[in-house]
Amino acid sequence: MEEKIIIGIGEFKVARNPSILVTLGLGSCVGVCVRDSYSHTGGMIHIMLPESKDSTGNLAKYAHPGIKLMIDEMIKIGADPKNLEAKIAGGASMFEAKGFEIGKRNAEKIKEVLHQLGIKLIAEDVGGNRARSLEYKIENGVLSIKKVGGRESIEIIQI
Amino acid sequence: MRWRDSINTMQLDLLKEIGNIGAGNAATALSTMLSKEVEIEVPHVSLVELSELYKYLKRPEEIVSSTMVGINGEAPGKMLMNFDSESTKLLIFFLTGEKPDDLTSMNDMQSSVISEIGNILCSTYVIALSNFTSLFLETEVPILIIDMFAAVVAETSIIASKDYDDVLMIETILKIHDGNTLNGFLTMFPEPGSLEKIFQKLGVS
Repeated sequence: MEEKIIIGIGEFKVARNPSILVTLGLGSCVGVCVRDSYSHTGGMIHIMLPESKDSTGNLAKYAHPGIKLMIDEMIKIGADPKNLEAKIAGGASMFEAKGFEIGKRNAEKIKEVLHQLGIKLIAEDVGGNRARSLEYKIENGVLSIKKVGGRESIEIIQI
Repeated sequence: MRWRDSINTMQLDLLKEIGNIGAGNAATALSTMLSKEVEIEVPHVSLVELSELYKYLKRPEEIVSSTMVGINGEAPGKMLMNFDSESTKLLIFFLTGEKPDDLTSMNDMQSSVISEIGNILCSTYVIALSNFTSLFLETEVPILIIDMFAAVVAETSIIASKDYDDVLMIETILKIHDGNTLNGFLTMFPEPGSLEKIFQKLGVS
């Protein structure tokens, strides 16, 4: 039985297969899912903001240095930095009328950080104005994304 | 930064009182609009770690209608009026005589009714706060969102105080018992610096 591990806002967790990493209610926040398909290790981070202004408090909520901190933990449980692949989802502008751009800036910074760390971004679902919930299966790397759809249903896409 | 580290018990009590006054006035406004009795629950000031928010909100993925109203002036912040799906439909029914099938396909009239209810309740709250504290406060135009509960709350909190690792919410639940139970969750999110101004004005800084 796979264990579901829930990641709160501004947190990251790493795990070995079999596990499903879950995060709920991403608005402008972005979920970054990283996995090593050979060692079957993975991690998910729920990023709130692009960059930390000072190095105090909870650093896991920032793309920089949060992603790097998560990768370090993944390496500790057996991931090989050369094999890493990433999928990202989130970065919506829920309050679109106000033009809050946090979501867009988060996604841009994340891509920059992934590139610097040499992690290949293989799929993404970012932007729009709807919130997302994510489930990332470490075994096969499938990322299921839930959004509110028509008739109050939950629409699920997989990337 | 954490709200938790910067507020003492006496100040927490005062925030509760602010919630009471604000929500009391909002309840009166709702009661007048609907010609129904509206109850408020004792306000609650919660300090929740952002990472624990999904646990704190019992049904984080529930689809709600939320009206966000920005507060400008001497003590800026955000107000959020949330109604669950059934309550939203009932409110629209009370005011227009027609009940929408679902929140995601409301027509313009229905959306504007629910957004205006949120606007009136949030604004009434802010006016009461302004009178109580003698601080100059004004409200922005409302923004209506139909989405997952946790995402709306998290998003509002991030906009209000993005550098904080916890969320400060002054919450009140509005209820109507009319054969149907209607639940509204009215919350204020202060911005950094606003509480100091409020506490200063009220002599508890």
